[in-house]
Amino acid sequence: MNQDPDKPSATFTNQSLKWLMIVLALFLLIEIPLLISHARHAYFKIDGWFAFYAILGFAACILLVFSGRALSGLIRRSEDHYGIEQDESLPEDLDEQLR
Amino acid sequence: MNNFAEFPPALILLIGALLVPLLKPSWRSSYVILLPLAALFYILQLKTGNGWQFNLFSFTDEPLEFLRVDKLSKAFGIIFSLNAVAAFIYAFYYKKSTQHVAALFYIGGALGTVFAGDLLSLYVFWESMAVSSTFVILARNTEQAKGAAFRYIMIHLVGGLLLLAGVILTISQQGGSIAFDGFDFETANHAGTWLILIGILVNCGAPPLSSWLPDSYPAASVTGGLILSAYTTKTAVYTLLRGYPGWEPLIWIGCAMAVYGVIYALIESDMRRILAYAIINQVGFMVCAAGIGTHEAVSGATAAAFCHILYKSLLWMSAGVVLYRLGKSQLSDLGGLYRSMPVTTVFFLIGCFSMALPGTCGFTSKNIIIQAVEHEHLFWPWLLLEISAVGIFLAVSIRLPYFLFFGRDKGLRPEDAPATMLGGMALLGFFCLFFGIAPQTLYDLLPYEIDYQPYSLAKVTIVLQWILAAGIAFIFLKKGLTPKPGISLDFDWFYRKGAKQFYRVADKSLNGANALTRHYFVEGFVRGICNFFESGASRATAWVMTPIWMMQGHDAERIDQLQQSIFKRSKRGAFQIGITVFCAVILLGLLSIIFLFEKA
Repeated sequence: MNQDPDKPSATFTNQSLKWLMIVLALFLLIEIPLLISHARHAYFKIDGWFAFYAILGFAACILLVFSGRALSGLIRRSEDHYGIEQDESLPEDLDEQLR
Repeated sequence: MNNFAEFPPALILLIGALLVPLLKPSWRSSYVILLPLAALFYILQLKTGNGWQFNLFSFTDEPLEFLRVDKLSKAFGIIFSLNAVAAFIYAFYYKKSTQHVAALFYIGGALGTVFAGDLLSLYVFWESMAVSSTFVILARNTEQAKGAAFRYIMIHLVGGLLLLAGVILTISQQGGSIAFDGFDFETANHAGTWLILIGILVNCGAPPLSSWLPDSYPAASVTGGLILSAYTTKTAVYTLLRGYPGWEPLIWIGCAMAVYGVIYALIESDMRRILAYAIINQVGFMVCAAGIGTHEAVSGATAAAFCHILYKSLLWMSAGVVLYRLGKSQLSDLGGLYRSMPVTTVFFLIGCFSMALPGTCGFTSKNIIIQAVEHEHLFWPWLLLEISAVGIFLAVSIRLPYFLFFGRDKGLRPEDAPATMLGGMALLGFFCLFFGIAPQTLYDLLPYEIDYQPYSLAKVTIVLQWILAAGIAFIFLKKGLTPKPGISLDFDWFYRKGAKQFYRVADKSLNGANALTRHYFVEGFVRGICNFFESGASRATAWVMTPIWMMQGHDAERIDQLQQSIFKRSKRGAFQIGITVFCAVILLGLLSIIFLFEKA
């Protein structure tokens, strides 16, 4: 395996492994009281699954961030896209020390 | 309660606003804090009932009703005036009267809408909000603000006209009744109610009618954006809760708003635009709850609106401090600010965590909506709302403070917030935590009694689970979430670029047609006609005479002279036609004499 520290793949594996361990430990810690107490009340089938909300939260973040990135390729433009002339003077509602 | 001692609370602000320009600048700031404070105490002691009724119109027997007090209107009235108090404490440094007057009219309009008891008075206050809020945006007096205010008022005038058309149709459908008490989805499902609904959804910020919100609020001043963020969308939520509980399409519209808001909040890089998209996301939850329409959902939406105003205003305030001190709002220019503005950072974090964390008002309010969705067993809305709840926590509660106050140090060392700004933030921060720790005080204000236990083991662990998941996801996805300078195109592209393109196409096609017409018709055909009548006769004469002259044996030079003399005479009208005319007159005279004798 390539040992070059600048290579993102190498750092990614080490870092992510460490984090993954921490995450799993935390999820277990949080899930335990639910398992013991049977406090969970499932309204649908899937929300009764083990650590469902942790998985949902993580998956939701990944889904949203990646769909956001895909979208940003389409809709991100430079700041002067609409041709507004950038005012050099500051609006008067700001701190007087700025001027 | 039909006596005039009970007047609409909006009057305190509307009449009070008129006096603002007359006051000394040094007194203004304190005076504008006292007005909403008076309104708050006045609303707190109002008793349930109706008042201030006037018979102004002949087409209906029912009076206009400017004061309808019940638990729903009271809850919104309390939070509107409480937020106004905090906002004006925060705005203490701002001495110009224009924005204060516009803001007071705007908040007064919002209070008027909430306490209006019928469709017509609702419409009047609704429009007054649209107009006054435009002046709040304009008060910043930059080119960007002017453009945004123009687009804002155009959209809201369209929304207002739809509302008016809907109001008129609905009144005629209701047989002349101007009552506004909840339309039934089965029986009152006609064009009038739908037009009203579209008018309300414009103010909610429902896509595709949403882009006015992230366009205009960040263009307003530090305090203007703060004041705007609370009222327009929340009065719209109030009207939905009042008029449209149980309208099923709202469930899906709300989900679309929640998802749309969170995706844009994740890719946006301007701190105030992120907060604007977060408003759309949060209002989506409330719209969805209005669509469910059960008592639990309506109470949950009221609680969510109440608490959303508290923490979103706190976020606008603390982001406003950064803008006030540095004049920057692009996240790519900011970072590491906690070193020199620790107190603002703390208040910002309170606002952030109030969106979901146990112990804050977001936890005790927003989850009621989720539970209402669960009780109705609506799987897809539930999943979409859960996903967008996690996403907005990632976007606003983790990403925004990280890149604004922590993250890479950009060497900026601004001073912390001025004392009055801190005062406004402290007031809201206190209530954010207060309603989280003592939620029963909040639940007592809600329109319907609910049996809801916020601090159960399952609810706390569930929220902690997905908060933790969002935190971990942020660490993994930090690179993809790093803000890059720029703007995101939204639906406003269609009327900003689209209108320009339309103008260009119209310019090319219509002006092109105009030019062609001018070339071929005005300069070609008409000129030809003119030439024909001007010199056609002389040309014909010359054309006929030339062979005759040639037969008479004139040479070419002589013929040319004769032709020129004909043209000259025709231009001057100097043909020798006197004898011909004389003969014609004599003939006419003779004819008329014969005619007369014949008659006799």
